[in-house]
Amino acid sequence: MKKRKLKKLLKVLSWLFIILVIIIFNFPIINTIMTSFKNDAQISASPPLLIFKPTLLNYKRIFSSAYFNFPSFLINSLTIAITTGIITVLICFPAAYGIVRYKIGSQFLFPLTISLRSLPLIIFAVPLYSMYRNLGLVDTQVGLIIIHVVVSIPIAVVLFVSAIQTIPKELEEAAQIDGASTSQMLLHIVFPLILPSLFVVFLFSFIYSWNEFLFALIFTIKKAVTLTVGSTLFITSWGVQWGNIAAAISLSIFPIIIFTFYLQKYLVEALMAGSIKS
Amino acid sequence: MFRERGFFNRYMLITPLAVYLVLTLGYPFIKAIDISFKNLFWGSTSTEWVGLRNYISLLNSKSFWLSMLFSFKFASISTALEMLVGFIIAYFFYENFRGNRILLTFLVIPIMVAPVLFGLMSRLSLNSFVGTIPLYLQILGVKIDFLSSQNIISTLVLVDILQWTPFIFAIIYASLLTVPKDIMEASIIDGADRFQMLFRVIIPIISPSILSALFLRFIEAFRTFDSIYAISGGGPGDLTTTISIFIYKHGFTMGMQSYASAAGMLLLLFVLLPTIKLTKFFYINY
Repeated sequence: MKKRKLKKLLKVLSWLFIILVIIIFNFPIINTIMTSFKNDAQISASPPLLIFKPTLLNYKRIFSSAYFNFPSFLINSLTIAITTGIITVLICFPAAYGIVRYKIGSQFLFPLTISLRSLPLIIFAVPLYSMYRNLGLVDTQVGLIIIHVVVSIPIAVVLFVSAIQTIPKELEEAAQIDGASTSQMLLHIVFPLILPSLFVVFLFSFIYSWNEFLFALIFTIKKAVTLTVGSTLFITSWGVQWGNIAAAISLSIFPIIIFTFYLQKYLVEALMAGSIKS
Repeated sequence: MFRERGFFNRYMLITPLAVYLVLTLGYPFIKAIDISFKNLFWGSTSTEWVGLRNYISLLNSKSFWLSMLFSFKFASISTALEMLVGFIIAYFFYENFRGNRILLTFLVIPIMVAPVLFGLMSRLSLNSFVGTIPLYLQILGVKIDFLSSQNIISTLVLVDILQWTPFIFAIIYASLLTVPKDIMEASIIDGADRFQMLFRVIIPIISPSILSALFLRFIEAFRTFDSIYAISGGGPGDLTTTISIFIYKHGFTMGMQSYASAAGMLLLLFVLLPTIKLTKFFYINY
C-alpha cells in the first residue's frame, strides 16, 4: 500500500519535473508568442501579465508597416528555402546513389563532403562577396540559394547514403536482369522506396535555409532580405518595437515548430549523421 | 557491381555534386587564400601580394587573440554545462518517459528554431524594460540587469544552454536507446546496483556518442555568431566578440577584406588540426 503511494507520488513528481524542464528550455519561445498577442500597454505591464485579453494588433501592424516590408521578408525566406530544398535533393540524391551502388566518389568526394560540416563557413564570406559583386548576385534570392545549398549538401548526402543502403540490392539486380537501364532503375525502383527520405532531406534543407542568418545578413540589403535578418530590423536606433518583433518572430518560427512534430522521428538520425561515420 | 545501361553512366551521377562544390566552394576557397595575401579593403585598388603581413599583424593583434580566447571560454563553459545537464535529462527521460514522442518533441523544439531568433527571443525575455524574467525577479526583490556588461557573458552562456542542451539531450537519449537490454539484465543478475550500472556499464557503452556530442557542440559553440550578434552585437566594445563576429566586423563592417580573410584562414587552421587528430583517434579506438 505504502509502496504504491510512493510510486504514484514519484510519478507525479517526474511529470512535474519534465514539464518544468520543457517550460524552462522553451521559455523564450513561449514568452515571445505570448508577447505577440499583447498590445503595448500589456507588454509594459509590471508584473508581466500571464492572463490577458489577446489581440492581433501586432500581426496587423507588421503586415501594413510602411517601414518594414514584412511580406517581402516572408516571400524571400519561403522562396529561398523551397528552392534550396529542391536543388539539394536533385544534386545529392543521384550522387548518393552513385556512392552506394557504383562506389564512385566513395574515396574522395564522400569524405570531403562529410568534412565540410566542420568547416567554418565564414571563411567563404569574403571571396563569395566579391564574386557576387562581379556577378551581380548581391541582394538576390539566387545568391542566397547558392550558399544555402552548399551547406545543406553534407547532411543530405549522408542521409541519402544511409537510406539507400537500406534498400536491398536484389531489387535493382532483378530489374537489371529484366533489362532496365540505370535511369529506369533510379526512377522506378529506388525513388519510390526512398520517398520519405527525400521529404526529410528537403525539410532539413528547408529548415536550415529558413533559419540561416550570417550569409543573409552579409548578402542582402533590401530586396532579398529574409525573415531572420528582417526580424532584427525591428530593433531600431530609436527603440525596440517589442510587440512587432514578437509577432514577426512568432510567425517565423511557426512553420518550424510544425515541421519539428513531423520530423522528430528522423531528427535523431540526422543529428547522429554528423557524428558517427556510416 | 552494376553495369551501366542506357544513357547514364556512373559519372553523371556525381557530376552535379562535384561541379557544384568546385564552383561554390573550391574556387572561393582558393580565392580566400589569395585575398589573404593581398591588401584589399573597401576603396583600395591595389591587388599585389603583400606576403604574410596580414597574418603577422593578426598574430600580434590583441583583439584577435581576445576574440579567440572568448570563443574558447564561451564554448568550453557552455558545452561543459550542456553536457552535464543534457546527460542528466537524457538519463531521466530514458528511465521515466522512454518512448514518449510528444514530450520528446517539445524538448527538442529549441534546437530547430533559428539561433538568431532564439537570441532575439531571449533578449525579449531578459531585457530590463519589458522582460518577463527581470520583472518577476523584481517582485521577489532581486534586481538583475541581464544585459549589463557585468552579466552579459553569463547571459549569453545561459541562452546558449537553453537552446542547445536539448541537442546534447537528444544525442545521448538516442544512444541510450541503443544499449542492449540483455547487457543491462546481465549486470543486474551479477548484482550491480543503479550507480554501478550507470557508471560501469552504460556510460562506457555510449561513450562514442558522448564524445561525438561533445565534439560537435564544442566546434559549433566556438563559431557562434547568430545568437551573440542578436543579443549583444559583440559588445559592449569587444567584450563578447567571438572569432566569427571578429571576422564579420573586420570584413564587412570595417571593410578590411584581406585582414578578415587571413583571420578566417587562421581560424580554419585552429579548427582543422584538432579535428583531424580527433577523427584519427576515433577511427583507431572505435
